[in-house]
Amino acid sequence: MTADLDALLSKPLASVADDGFSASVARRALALQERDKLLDQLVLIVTAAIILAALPLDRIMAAIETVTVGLGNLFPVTIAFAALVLTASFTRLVVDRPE
Amino acid sequence: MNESDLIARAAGGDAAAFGVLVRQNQSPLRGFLRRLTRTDYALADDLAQETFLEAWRKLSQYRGEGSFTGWLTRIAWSRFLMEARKRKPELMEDLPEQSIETSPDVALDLESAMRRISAAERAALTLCYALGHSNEEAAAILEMPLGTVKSHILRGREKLRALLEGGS
Repeated sequence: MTADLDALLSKPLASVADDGFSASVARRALALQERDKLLDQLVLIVTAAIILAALPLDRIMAAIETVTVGLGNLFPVTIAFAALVLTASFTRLVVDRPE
Repeated sequence: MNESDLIARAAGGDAAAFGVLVRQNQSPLRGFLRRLTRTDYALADDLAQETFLEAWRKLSQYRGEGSFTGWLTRIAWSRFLMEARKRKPELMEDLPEQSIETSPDVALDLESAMRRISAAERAALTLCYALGHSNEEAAAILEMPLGTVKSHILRGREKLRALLEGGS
């Protein structure tokens, strides 16, 4: 009886026909992937919107404006900028010079 | 393409590769779940589908330790346990005497006898005999100590022997 029972138990499980099961699982997996991607994008957009709404944009823009104007009025910065423009113009002149 | 290539591609989001993995593994997994659910085919297929979808989400966590089939079966067992604990606790226990359709002195076939023993015994016996896993692999799949798996196998075999011989 022990041998019989072992033989019975060791018989492989009856094969289960696929009948569209795999295709249905793959479809659901794909839908799940799309949903997760969409959710990730949504989280990103909402987070960005919250951060933008919470930022004091007026004050940031005003600070940028003050710093830019201040830099423009500084003599060394003006000289450096002028040197930069002159160098670029000279380089262009040399490059464009006919042979 | 071999199994590890398919797993790598599926882990990278390739649903077609995952579909092939499902096709290769659906039969033993659904067969195992049908035994666990006492041949409730609809419930077994729902659990199999949930198992594969959980595997799809967690595929990047699969480290290749042990077989892929074993990893899937482990997910299936934990899904089955959750379902049984939540909605069908009767699936976990032996079937009581009064639910026997035949008289106690009539011998049962193996599948009918299997339906009568506890879920842990059904699982341990199916894994170690029909699905060819070692006792150690079965212990890892069922997340039980090796000794517990061995005693489930022993007890299950004794009950099956009695049922197949016509005793209760």
